[in-house]
Amino acid sequence: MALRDQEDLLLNQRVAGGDRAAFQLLVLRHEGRLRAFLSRVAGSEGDDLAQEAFVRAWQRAGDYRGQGSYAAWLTGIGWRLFLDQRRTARRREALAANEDVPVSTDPRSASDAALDAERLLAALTPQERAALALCFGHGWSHGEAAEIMGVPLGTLKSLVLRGRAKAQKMIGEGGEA
Amino acid sequence: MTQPDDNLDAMLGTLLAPTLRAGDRTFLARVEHRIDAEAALGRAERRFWKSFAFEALAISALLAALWMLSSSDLLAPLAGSTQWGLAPPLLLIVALWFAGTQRHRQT
Repeated sequence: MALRDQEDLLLNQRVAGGDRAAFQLLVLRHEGRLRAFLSRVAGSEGDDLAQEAFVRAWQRAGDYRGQGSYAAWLTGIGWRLFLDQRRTARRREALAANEDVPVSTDPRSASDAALDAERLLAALTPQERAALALCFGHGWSHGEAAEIMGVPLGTLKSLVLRGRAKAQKMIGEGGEA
Repeated sequence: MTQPDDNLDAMLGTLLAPTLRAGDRTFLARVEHRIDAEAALGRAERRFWKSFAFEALAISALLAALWMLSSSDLLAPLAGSTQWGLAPPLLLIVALWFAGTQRHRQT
């Protein structure tokens, strides 16, 4: 276990005992990456989800006992919260079950010279977005990313391949124009 | 992996990497506020159920006592000839008292 992970584990053990100062340290250590990931996946809802994830991490600190890294455990909480929120929103809006691919509302065309992350991610499903963000942006291994997302390794690899292929296509279209 | 593949992976890495910065204390304050709010809500809920259970127990005891009284021979002259005698008006008083306490608790 890396030194940083050991420190996180020790801090979390203090959190499980109700130590607020230890929790503050954990929040300051991990909020940047968690918010970045959830913003990539959920857009403007990312910060709310990150807050909720930290609240759950505080309430369930005893559940983390050093299996994997604290960051992976926390990111997994955030991801599951996103899935729950999405399910609720879908039920509420009575969206069709097969509308998995979000429609990009970005008015800019693909021929714009600069291809930014938002445009690229808008063309992907949330699962593909999460898989790419975890593996390429955050540097998690496929195994760790699969653990965080709660999917089998093969599924994760398929998501990465599909997302990557879509990204390649978009970049190609952007370059040709 | 081929050269274009490596380039794409590097590009995705750059696009999707989180920006490195110091911890955000405003965000921390929001998280702590939320934790405190949830804890306060939890305490209020526990208080409510505890008090509800206590009152339900008290009402059950009262109702049992009223039932015993209404079936007692001592109060038969007051109750008249009907079987339930004093029970309905007394039950109404208990129900009004319970409704009143619930309303008072909500305000």
